[in-house]
Amino acid sequence: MEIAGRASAFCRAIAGFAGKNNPWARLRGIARANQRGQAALTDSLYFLLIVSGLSAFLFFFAASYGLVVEQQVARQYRSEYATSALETILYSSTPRIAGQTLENAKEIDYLLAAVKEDYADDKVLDETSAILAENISGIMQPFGDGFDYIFYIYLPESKKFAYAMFFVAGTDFQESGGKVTGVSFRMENRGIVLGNTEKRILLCNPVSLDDMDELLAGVGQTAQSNAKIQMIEIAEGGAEKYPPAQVNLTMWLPTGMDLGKMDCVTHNPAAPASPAP
Amino acid sequence: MSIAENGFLGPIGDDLPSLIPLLFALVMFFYIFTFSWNVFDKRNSAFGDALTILDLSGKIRGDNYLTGFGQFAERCFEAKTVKRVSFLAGLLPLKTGPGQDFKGIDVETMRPDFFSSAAGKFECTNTDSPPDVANTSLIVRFFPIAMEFKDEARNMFYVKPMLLVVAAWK
Repeated sequence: MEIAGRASAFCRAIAGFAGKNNPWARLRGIARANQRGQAALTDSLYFLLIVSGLSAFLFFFAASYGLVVEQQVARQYRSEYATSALETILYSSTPRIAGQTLENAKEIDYLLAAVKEDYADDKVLDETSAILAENISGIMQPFGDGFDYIFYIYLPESKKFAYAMFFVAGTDFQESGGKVTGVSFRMENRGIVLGNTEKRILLCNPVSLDDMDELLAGVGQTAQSNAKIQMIEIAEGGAEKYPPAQVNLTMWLPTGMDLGKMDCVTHNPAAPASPAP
Repeated sequence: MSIAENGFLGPIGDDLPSLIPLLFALVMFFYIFTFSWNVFDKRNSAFGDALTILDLSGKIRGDNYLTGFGQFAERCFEAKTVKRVSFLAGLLPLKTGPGQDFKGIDVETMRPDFFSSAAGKFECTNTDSPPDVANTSLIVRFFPIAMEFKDEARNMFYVKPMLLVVAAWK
């Protein structure tokens, strides 16, 4: 009986505890209200987190948007300049007699014709070498302060260079036995004090195209233009041969180079030569 | 004691703290969105202008060989079909011998002394007003071009390198 009475009292207590008017139930109601507020706050924090992620992605995407295209457009301009320059070099005229100008020369020829004639004599460009160098550096003047470049004529059949000219802006030139064996260029000078760097025209005699490719592979991004021409070779019996040749103009931002395999000497612009009349 | 008396402020008031990060997130998002939109718009416009000036230069250059003023005028007429930008183009002599003296052009004044022949001045533009270099973005491009000169007295012609200067602005 006593046990039954105690059980009944416990059940009443439980029922009362769960009843509407007991203080625990009221507290539970307040907790639900507070939990609702916490849920909304948590939702908004999640929303903030997601939006922050999206905003960060959008920001970095916007900041880097078009950089590749911008570089492509700049490279396109350099390529078009190289093409224009190469065509202009190949179209240009030259006086036949040293010391004359195009305006007063008695005899004028295409520069390319003079080059071919010079090469046909002894398979070496000697008389037109300086004129060609002057023409190339003159045509490249607008880019000359900010870029290095090379112009070469290569004969694939005989695997030799008829002509190779470097225009190099450097801070230091390494020389040995009258040959320029290398050039160094400090990064801090790039585009800032280029006017203070030494610029040189180098006439080179590389042995193989592989050496040239190896050198150009190390100079960074290049803009280049190629053209095919035919040189003239006269055999001992007087028979003429017309070996194909590749003319190339490649330009790149100034950088250090190892010119040891290029067999380069400095061209002196003060003493231009001219093809023989 | 009612629930309201225990901190319940009503449907809006109860969520007031959550509105702060919500509004902050929305403001941040739309700010970044507007910034990105402006960047896209500006860069797309710059690409368009850079490509337009290459196209424009290509029309004047043609095959990089000019036979004379007549052909320059023809190409200039074609270049004027480009309406996206205002431009000023012309030819400058390019010295190729010893003592090369190219110093660039003065973009502050944009009055290059373009080459003139008896037939006319090698200048091409689609506008009468010069660029306001202080307030506009000016794009300048150089291209070498070979030009044919006829010398009637000596009965010969020769080809000299010239420099095509193209300046464009909006």
